Amino acid sequence: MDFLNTGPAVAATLRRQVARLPAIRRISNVAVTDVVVRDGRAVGAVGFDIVGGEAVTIAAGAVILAAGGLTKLYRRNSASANMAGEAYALALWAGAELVDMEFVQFFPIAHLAPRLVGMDPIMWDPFRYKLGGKLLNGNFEEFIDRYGGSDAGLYTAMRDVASYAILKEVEAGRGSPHGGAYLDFRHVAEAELRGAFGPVIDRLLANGIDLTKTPVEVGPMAHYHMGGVRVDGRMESRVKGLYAAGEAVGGANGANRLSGNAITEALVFGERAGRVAAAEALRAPAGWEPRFAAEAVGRVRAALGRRGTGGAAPVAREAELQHLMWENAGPFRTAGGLAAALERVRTMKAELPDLAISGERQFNLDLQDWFELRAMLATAEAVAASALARTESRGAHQRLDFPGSDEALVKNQALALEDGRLVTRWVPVARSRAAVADR
Amino acid sequence: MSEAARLRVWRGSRREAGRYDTFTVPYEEGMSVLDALRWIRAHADSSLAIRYSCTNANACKTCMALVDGKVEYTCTARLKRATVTVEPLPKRPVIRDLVADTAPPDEKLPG
Repeated sequence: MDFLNTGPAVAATLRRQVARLPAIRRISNVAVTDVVVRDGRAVGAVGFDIVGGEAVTIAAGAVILAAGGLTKLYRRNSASANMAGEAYALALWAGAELVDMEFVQFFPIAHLAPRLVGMDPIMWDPFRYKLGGKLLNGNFEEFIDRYGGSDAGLYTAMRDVASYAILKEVEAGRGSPHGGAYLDFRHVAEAELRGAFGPVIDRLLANGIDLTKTPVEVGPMAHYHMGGVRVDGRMESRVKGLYAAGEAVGGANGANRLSGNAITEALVFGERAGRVAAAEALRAPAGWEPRFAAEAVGRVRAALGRRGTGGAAPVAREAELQHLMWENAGPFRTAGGLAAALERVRTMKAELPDLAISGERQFNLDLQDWFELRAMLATAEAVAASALARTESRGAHQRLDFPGSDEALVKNQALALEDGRLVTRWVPVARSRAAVADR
Repeated sequence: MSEAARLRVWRGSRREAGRYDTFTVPYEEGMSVLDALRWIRAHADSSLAIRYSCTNANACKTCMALVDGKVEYTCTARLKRATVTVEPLPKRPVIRDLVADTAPPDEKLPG
């Protein structure tokens, strides 16, 4: 938990620096729906103006995807509501490869209840580290030792063991009322609580949560995506002039990730992608003609033209997809569940043109949801297909039908669209010099 | 979740020609005004225009509106069992419903 608000402070500093550079122009309220590619090179983007409801084209010498992760694919997630996998979908459609899409990190003890506002749901880890909270099932029994973990008031259970244990207790009817477990600090003296987390204790009290009197409910949530756009050391994808930065980048973490490195990834990958892309944009040939964007603009205009139509709202389909992914491509996976998810996702893709879009011109969220859902479905398909092909358990990818790791699968999985079909292939793990020296 | 809250929500795209729609929303202790607005979009009227991004942690700072006459972040403003009135930010042009124009002039598209 970012109690020090490091993220917002870093973001504010970056924004201030950007505002000082007259060459950088920020545009608000535009949703990008496609990257425009011509002769294997990214030459711009197409989207729509959410405020005015018109198609927008942007010509560019280089394009950087920095739209974050995919946690909105899951019913329970700890991130912003705008992390819907758009960067991955835009990359796929542009012809780039993705990598490691099966490795979605689930945070085991995210906050479920009582309703807590103004705080990050993944706040409980430092509490357990420092104070030794007890993880209890719905009957107020410790349970993690039943699943090969040990607890005894100390944070020793691995994240995947904790997630597995909590979800198995829920499945057995021994979950907490909101479908998780209790995290209990009632055995910790108030002075000790205050000594460790004084200001946070006050914010919790303002939320009606008194840790000396009530346990909180916690459970696994989708938290971070290790997979993403397959880029080289210059952050460039296999499409010339198309780069990625931040969580949109895949392959930096492998099958699991240590906490606290997302901000450094954003800074390092962002600086590198920005520097390389700016140099590339200067060299790039003048590459834009309106006809290159015709297909993508046509897609936006078709959606705009469907305003006022009936059917299910895209936002309702998003909720269905979130349940589907949580149940079938979530913390624990099986071949049957993943195949069912793939089938349903493909049906939902085919049904996209039938969804309702309300008639308003300005700030039409149905329209925004429709394009977001289109991206979510493309990304969901990539996650489920990769997870189905990896017939082992490794890191954040846990297959109930293949509980062990398979030495033959110490490989990365790359995905791309070929003639509109998603194709996965195995590629050797690129080992850094430091890692080789350690072996 | 048998309890319910009522929201009176300002609708329209011109200050002088707006109306109030009333929605009944399932109430859970501690829920935010934004929780209720998102429930309305998902279950009652997806055409409602609202602006938000982070939903929970009060990190994105985009969800401000007038809640019972006070400027608040809807993600941290608590819902009450009584009726709550939600209106767009005052002193800003209205785009539609609860969305006011908050973009800096130099971040707008050329008209």
